[in-house]
Amino acid sequence: MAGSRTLKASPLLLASLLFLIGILTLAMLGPWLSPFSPYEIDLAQTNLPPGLAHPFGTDALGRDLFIRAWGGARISLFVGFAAALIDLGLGLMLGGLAGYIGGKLDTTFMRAVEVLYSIPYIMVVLLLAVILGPGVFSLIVGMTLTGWIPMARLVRGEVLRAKEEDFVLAATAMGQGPFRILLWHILPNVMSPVLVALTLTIPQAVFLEAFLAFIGLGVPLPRASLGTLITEGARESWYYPWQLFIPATILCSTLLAFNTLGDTLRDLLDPKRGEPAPRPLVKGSAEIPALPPEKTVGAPLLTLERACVRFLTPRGELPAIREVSLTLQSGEMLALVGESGSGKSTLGRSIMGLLPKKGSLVSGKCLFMGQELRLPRLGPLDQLGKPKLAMVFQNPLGSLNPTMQAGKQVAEALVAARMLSWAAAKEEALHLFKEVGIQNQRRCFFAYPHELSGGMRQRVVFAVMLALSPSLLIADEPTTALDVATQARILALLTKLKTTRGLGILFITHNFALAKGWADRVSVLYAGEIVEEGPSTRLFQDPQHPYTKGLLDSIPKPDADDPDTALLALPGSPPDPYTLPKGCAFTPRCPVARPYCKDEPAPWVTLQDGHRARCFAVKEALFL
Amino acid sequence: MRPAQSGVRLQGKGPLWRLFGRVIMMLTTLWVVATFTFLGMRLIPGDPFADPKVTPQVRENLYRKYGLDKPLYKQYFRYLGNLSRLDFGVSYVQLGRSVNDIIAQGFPVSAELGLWALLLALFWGTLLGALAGLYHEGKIDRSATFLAALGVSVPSFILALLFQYVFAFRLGLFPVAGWEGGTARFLPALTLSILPAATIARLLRASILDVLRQDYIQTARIKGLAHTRLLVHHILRNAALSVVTYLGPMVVNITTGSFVIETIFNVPGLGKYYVQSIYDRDYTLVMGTTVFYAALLIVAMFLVDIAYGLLDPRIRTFGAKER
Amino acid sequence: MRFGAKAWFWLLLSAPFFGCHGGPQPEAPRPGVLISEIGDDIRILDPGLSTDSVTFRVLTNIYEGLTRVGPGGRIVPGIASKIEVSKDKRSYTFFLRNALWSDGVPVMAKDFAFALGRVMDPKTAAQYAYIVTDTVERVDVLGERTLRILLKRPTPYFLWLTAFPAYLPLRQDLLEALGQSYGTSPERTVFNGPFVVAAWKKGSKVVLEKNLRYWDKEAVLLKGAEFVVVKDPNTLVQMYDTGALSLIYQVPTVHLPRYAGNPWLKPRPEAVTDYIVFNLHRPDLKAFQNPKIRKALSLVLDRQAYCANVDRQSLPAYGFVPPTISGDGPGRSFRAHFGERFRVFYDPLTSRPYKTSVWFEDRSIEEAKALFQEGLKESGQKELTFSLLIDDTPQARRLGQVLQFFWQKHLGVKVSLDPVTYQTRLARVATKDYDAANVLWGADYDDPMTFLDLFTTGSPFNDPGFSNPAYDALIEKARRSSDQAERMTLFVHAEKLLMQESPVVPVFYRLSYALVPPYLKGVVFLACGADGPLKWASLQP
Repeated sequence: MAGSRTLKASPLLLASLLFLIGILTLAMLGPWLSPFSPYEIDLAQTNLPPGLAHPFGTDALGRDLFIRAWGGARISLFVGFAAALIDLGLGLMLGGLAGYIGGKLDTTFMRAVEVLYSIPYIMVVLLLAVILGPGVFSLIVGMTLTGWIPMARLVRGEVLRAKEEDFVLAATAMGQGPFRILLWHILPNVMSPVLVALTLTIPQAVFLEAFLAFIGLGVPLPRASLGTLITEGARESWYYPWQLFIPATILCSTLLAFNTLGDTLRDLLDPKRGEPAPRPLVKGSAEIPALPPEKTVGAPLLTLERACVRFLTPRGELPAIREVSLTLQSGEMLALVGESGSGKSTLGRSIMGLLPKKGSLVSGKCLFMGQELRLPRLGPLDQLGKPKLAMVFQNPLGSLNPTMQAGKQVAEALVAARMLSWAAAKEEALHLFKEVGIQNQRRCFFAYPHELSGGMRQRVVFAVMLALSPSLLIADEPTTALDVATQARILALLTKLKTTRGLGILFITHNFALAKGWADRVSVLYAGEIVEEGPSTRLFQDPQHPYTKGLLDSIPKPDADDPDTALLALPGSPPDPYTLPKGCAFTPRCPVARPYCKDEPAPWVTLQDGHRARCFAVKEALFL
Repeated sequence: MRPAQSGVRLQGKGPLWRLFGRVIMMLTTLWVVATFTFLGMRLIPGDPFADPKVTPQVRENLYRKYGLDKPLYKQYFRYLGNLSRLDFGVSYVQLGRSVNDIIAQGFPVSAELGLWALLLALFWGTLLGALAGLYHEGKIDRSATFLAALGVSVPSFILALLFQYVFAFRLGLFPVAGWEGGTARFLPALTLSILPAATIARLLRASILDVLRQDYIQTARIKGLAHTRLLVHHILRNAALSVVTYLGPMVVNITTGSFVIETIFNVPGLGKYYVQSIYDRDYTLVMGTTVFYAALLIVAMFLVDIAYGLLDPRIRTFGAKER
Repeated sequence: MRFGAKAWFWLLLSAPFFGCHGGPQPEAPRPGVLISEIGDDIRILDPGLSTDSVTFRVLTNIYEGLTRVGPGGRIVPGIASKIEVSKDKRSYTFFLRNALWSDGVPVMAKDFAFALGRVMDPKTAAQYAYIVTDTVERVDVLGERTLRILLKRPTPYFLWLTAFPAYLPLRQDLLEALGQSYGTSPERTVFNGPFVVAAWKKGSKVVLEKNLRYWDKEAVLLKGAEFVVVKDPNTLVQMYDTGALSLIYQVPTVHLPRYAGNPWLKPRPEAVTDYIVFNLHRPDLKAFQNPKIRKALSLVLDRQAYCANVDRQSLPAYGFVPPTISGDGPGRSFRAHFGERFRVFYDPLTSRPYKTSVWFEDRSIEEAKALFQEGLKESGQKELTFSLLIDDTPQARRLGQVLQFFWQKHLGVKVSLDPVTYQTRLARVATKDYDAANVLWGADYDDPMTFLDLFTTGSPFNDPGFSNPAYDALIEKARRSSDQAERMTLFVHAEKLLMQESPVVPVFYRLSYALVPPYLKGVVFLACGADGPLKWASLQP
């Protein structure tokens, strides 16, 4: 992760870090900033308000509070850091082992944790304070005795997850020892949530120390942590408020800074977020003003004209879709083929208006049945009484609400889109289930998504979408998560729907073989641009663009339908989207690249039957 | 999101069998806690009858009366025997009062205070968390997130002193302390609710952000659902799961009383007794309240699991939890 | 505050409460009912088993003993209308008046005999058994309303003891019927004092009402009284300031600055000495066995600065018996009238003067240093390091740190502080598991004996393990004497000897204050025993 960029990206992170550094510095330098000793009692100078000699005033025994406050901050922070680090060590060790070895050890671990959780920790800490004698050491031991548990649980969960990752499985298969795997492969991958947990554990430990000091279990006298000072100050806070509010402010603001740091780090490091959060550059995003309604008769179902999508990220502007134009007719299946990262899913989502509200810049024109779609649209789509769009996602399990019965998810779509009553919607949902090829419709209706097989789930998703009676269906890798046999059945279903309902289908896939087998027309997308398009029969017989050619060559001929070998595989790696050349993005990987390809936009070359490609080489080959 | 297959499951066994196993497990946990408390209290030096006015002769009499002169193992078995009959014994310090009686006095008060605090915490926590999550990255999110971070950064005793001073003493809006009348419940409940409210808000925000990234939310949006339906059935319903996990132990903590808040606001609840009884070395009261607390906690965890099962159809098992 | 802001505040904060509560508002105080405080809930309504001052405060209002302690600490008649004392002052015969229990049953001599017998029975395990067993030889019921108590030795303060809770009567029939649950609620006991308990809301308050069957009910002017349990000192004064309380028996130290100069602040007698005790039986701390060392440790303390600037609620102590303990009669302070040298110290808050006899002066640092070096040489130790056991309370922590600082600064003594809970401190001091400790002793009865007999050989409260035959002889002689003048002389000698030997080092005498509004009259404050009877109190609006 690029540190400086992260700091720049989050002023909150920077502020809290700076604040903490300030507090730490003062806590370390405190003794040199004041001529007084923290333990020097002066019975003639008790309870002095803040002033020149004593910036924070004096306490009930005439001791200087400035030096005591920073000394106290040092002790509190030391306890916090020490306890959090020990928690971390124990958590990593015990949680890691339990998660990695699993089985009986893991079960025992979870049981032990459950028992430990049931013992009030005040008693544990009290017991220790008494057995070990009061002091920083027994405080830390007492706090870590139960404090490691959340950390261990976190680590265990992360390890359980990481254990199933491919690279770990591979390392295991290669015969590496378990400790080596744990140390080299698993731990580095669980570190970022653990780091976040650590930044949040430190304030918890400081908090706990303050509480323990409040009930009389703090550090030995005459030393004082912030908690001790607050407790002492709280007693007479109405008469000598500075004795309470100065240490309380230091404590609370330090805790707040730590918590903010942890929160911001979590947001930045969260692996689930995938890309860094898109942030808005321009308020209100780019929306194209609506054109006056045109005659829609005879217009194609979907037309994209020079559509562009850019994301604003902390790294800069990310062009995901660059000037894409395409058309799709009713009753036609257009396959949009491209590597992962080529922008094909973004294209699908942008048509649906599902892009993030903030941080997406969209331009170009999108006409649906001749009507302009405003992109991106916000919130639930208001589709009542209008021609409809629908979209199916790659992972059928993820596309269904896990806590709602499958049938209900179809029914609610019917209620919303067709204004049916719930009873009618239920009947209609059962019909739709039949239409998408579900055998036992009634059982399926009451089943939760996790109880269904992958193919069934995808059929349910189709039923949900058909409930909208759409004219256009965007199918984003609808079969990738399924096994081969189910894939074929789902595609057959799509083809059937295409003909029976006259649906236009935008079939997004990375699988050339599927596109060749099922689509009417094909568009090849590379780095957010269409490089070649045409009827699938023509395009596959006579590919023009070097990229398409390379892809087709990489499909082993005898069993080209086998999806495992038909994956797009080409020498070189996809380009970095942030540093695309002005000209053809494929140039670095292109076997026939010309010197000028990189700098000049390639021209479109049209062949017959709407088959066209965008390449200098093609152009030159034609005119030579 | 949690994967479909959960880590630990007692597979191939009927629900009754699983319930039985769970109950055995709960009882074992209670036994461990009871034993630990018994031994722990005996390890702490101090004596329930160490009053300056108590002569050694009198102390001997007291020891005999309460059976403390017997060997430790005999005391232990007597204690376990009494526990199994739900008899926690007689308090050594609060003369003539049984521990059951003290719990019966203090717990309803703590529980009532806890429930008010819980209501407040749920209301504010959900409101803040939902606003922050739904208006991610905006001003609302930032303010709500800051408030929630502040809530987990200010210790309750500072809050209690502050609220008492400002709202009761300076503004005179509420009684300073006590447990008489509805308004007296307000400040302690408010103070007690801040930490859970902030925690709920933080959990819910993270959870909502997580849910919003899920495809099923996109599916739901495509369906053209009404705002409320989208919010309640799809976003909140799924985001609530992580809050429910936290709710179990939190409810027990909050309803068994907070020493600090009950002391500062002078609430006659159980939390006050608990810390005091440790200080007094009131063995039976400490053991009674600890076991009571542990039992509540264990039952609450069990209820959370059941609630989780009801809320999340993917988890339909007694006790087996993952992560 | 403007209406708008206030309305918003309520609306926002009470949103989740809407429609779900309509609890009772705090009731306005009923006329003639005094609302005051207790620092903790009372433990039990059973005088024989009670030990704490909070329970005593309630008990003295709901029970009546053979005698009662009245204004100024004078003994006034209780259930006994006539008392005959034998010539050797060992036999007391009490003639009971026609008094009733709150259930209408007459109060009989056997009720007293049964109560005393129960407290003396080891099986009862009453913590205050010694206050009876040390004094009382035998109790005889001579008639329905005639009771004779035979003492072990003449006891000048015996009629004071008969007002003490452990001497209060008890109904055998009720105790036997109720067993363990006797006294755990107002329904499970009966009363014979000026008031009865109408309600005991555990952990929250005790409500008293005038006892219409009380023998002297004409003297009782209050209609009732409430004791609200308030543990937190901030809460206590806020409740007082907002009018929720009309009497604070003891103003918390922390809030004394608030009432400095307030005419309602009344000093009240308190008989507590705070002192340091040295363990004289530590083989590894030979230095403590040397009186010079102990004396030196005592001399370096700046008691006057501590009392004036830190504690603000105490008088410096240069002798062991506090100034509130009477000498040869009520109102004749032992401290003010008996001794060799006298000085006047002022209450830091009200500037009230206290004449006290002193046995030494502090801040004689040079003398202390010399003594300390001599003592070290004599005991063959090079330096002194020890741990000071203190209570885990803010006051004790402060004093501990001051002691630690002065001892280190002037004598080079290294002291570690060991704050422990009250119960632990008592247990460790009792088992001699300590080096030195900061402890307090409060009077059990109004006589110097309650302080001075602590350090006789074999006394169960002889914390330092001090044993001096001359001292023992003086105290024993005072015990046997019934001549007050002779007793006082003996006490002076004993205290002088104690201060010379310094097994214990007094630090301060605690002062305390009550907040009594001018419309409240007749509340009696006492230095020891059951404090604060409301029998003669009245509210005049």
